[in-house]
Amino acid sequence: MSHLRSLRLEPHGAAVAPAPVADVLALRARDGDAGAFAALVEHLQPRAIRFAAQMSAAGTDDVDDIVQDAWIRTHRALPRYDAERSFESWFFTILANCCRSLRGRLRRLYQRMEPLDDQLRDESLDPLIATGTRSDVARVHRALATLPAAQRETFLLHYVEEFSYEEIAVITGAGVSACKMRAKRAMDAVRDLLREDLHDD
Amino acid sequence: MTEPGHDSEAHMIETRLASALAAMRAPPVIDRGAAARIAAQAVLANAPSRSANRWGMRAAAALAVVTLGALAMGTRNPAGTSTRTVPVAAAPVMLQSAPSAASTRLVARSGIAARPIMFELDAPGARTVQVIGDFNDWSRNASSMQRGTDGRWRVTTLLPPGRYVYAFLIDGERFQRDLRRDPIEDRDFGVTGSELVIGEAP
Repeated sequence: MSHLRSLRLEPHGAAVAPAPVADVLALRARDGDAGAFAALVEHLQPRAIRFAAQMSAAGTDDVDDIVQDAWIRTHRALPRYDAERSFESWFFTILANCCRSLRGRLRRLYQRMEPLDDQLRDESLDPLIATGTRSDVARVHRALATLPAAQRETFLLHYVEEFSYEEIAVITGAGVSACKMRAKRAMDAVRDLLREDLHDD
Repeated sequence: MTEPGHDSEAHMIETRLASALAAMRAPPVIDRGAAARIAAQAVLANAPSRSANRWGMRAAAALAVVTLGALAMGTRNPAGTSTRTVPVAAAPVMLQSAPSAASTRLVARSGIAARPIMFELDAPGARTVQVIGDFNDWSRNASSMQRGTDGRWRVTTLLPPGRYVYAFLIDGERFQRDLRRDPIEDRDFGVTGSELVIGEAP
């Protein structure tokens, strides 16, 4: 999330972006520090669960399995981690692949995408969130459930995980302009549903 | 020129959208013990078979002993707390509690990589819990434990192979040894703690 990284000033006045925590931990983990890998899991696990829960047409156990699978794959691939690349976007590439794999398995099972389970999405939210906001979140999730998976994925990566379009292009393998288009179409669909609900109220 | 009603509708949609997105960005609460187990499983899943058989089985055996022991004994002290300390082959180290100077010295002296060790205490009525021991110079602030969603307190710290004495400090005033391990007196600090021995890695 390069646009969110804070800057610090060097003594001579040059602005230098500090290495994100995940990148530092990943390098230590790559060098065999098991504690650093464990800290990496703890650092990113909330976001991993959040993304997988909102992305996948799966039950809670499946979300846990998806994320566990992503960490196993990540650990296996660590020796190939490129220090020049953001670890967060690298990890989300693997996580998104795991989510897609599950969707593929479900599609073969049910021949269609099941809508996201309301209860699961609700469980992924902070319990202190107000009821009205919960309703709006449910509307957004309902709109996302109607979208092609690629649009839903791009929407979540950009508006929830706050990756830049350039980072999403790396994560998904799509072009930057395609990512922008997917995000726009997804956002249009969400706004349309909110507008319809507003008229129904 | 747009109608006033259209503007207010658009404003309402954007407000709802913004609050919904903010809620969707709030990270879910994750049990730190679960993160530790996930990391351990990932490491073990990718460990070479020889290593997995030795160190991995040792960790699995330790977990099994702890679990079976908890089921069989249901250890309770008079204050209503039970304890268990779970050595995990590849559990996390909490960045918030950096290895103490004593631990760092041990790493440097031994030249052997430290292992993440998870301490766990079932003390649902406690307000604060720290694990203190000779590995952190019995510091009350070095290793604060966090209460998980299951009510258990946990912290993971890096420790190189060796023998350690430790205890739990509950609510900043009451020491409690780990009832599942042998009691041992720390002569320097005067606390009856528990003994933890971390063996050499294969």
